[in-house]
Amino acid sequence: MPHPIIRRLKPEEEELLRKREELAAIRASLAERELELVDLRSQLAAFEGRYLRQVGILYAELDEWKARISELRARLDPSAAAKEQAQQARQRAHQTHEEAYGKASETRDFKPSADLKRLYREVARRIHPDLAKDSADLERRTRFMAEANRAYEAGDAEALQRILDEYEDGAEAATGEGIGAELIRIIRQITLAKTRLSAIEQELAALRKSEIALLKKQAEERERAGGDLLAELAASVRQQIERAKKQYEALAKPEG
Amino acid sequence: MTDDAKLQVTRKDAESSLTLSEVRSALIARGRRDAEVLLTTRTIELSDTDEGHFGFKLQWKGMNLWFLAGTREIQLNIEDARTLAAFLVKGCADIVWASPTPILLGRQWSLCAAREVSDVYPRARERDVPRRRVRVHCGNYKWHLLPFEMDRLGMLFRETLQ
Repeated sequence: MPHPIIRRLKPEEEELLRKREELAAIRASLAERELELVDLRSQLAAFEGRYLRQVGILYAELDEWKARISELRARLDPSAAAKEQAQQARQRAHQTHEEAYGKASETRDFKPSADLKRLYREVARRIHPDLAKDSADLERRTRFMAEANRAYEAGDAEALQRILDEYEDGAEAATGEGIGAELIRIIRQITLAKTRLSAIEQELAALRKSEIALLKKQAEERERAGGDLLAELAASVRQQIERAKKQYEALAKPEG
Repeated sequence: MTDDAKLQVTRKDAESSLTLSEVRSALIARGRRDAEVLLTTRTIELSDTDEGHFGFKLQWKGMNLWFLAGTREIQLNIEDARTLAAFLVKGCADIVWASPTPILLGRQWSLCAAREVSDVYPRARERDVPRRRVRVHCGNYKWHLLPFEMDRLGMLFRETLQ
């Protein structure tokens, strides 16, 4: 009975196989972490938008009243100190207004579907710039990945799919010039991907420590206790506004 | 102007994706501070018609303040403190303090309430309660304060809170 002929892999081929498996695993991990990062960014931006629309604009109104009070006091007592205080209050009111009505306030709630997440994961796994083979590939992947991120943040699954298709259509089929070259390329891709993973971890940690993340965490804790932190904050600021109005009216009366 | 340079998620421009950047974010830091106050206190109902000895227990930055109302311990949030202070300025009550925490902090808390009252009733001290003093005990200390004195100390509290 003839023995089947089994071709033994050369050591460099075995190494290439191992590295390909390692790269595949790291690609999956990178896609997952990228998704986590883009999700967190979007959620925080959406929460910030909600905070600014619900509470920020009230702070702007409160600071406006405080500025009016300070300006009125400065008219009643035109001392240098009163004038300076009025200027500061007006500056603060302006700053608060700018922040409350700025671009960030327009960000709406972000609730990606499971399908959208799956699609993004796939896009990240295939397109990620840190898996580029050379500089031209890097440039192309970077461009596609940026478009993909925008599409994901906008919740646009069709655009994501189109980006993936376009990328795949233009992807080079060539895998390299021999085992040695491919091995080197894969090792570099793995190194780049690991560096990116580390950068993602750092960004995630920084995001979780940001003011808006801490405020969001407080709101979530409050929600678990059956409360609504933003609504409570808004109510508290409204009361401050009412008091400021009364204070203004009381000051304005003697002036006539 | 506050100095709250914090990390925020934002867009570099309308077309770009969200990125992490360092921007001045006084408004978010302000919400955080106010939220901290809201979350570290608990609400109870307090009626303006209640009489007798009143007090409250508050937590601030992990510290407890103990205020007594007769034999009861009551915990208040800022709104309730305001209500209580309104009651005090009408001249009907003593505050009995039995606080293991630093006196200054305790005094600041009570006077926050007084400050709030002066906002709500800007002319109350001249018109309604001209000479009514409020007795305040804190540990071994005791003061008899006029509303405007409480008001002044309340401003100190405000500054500390800022």
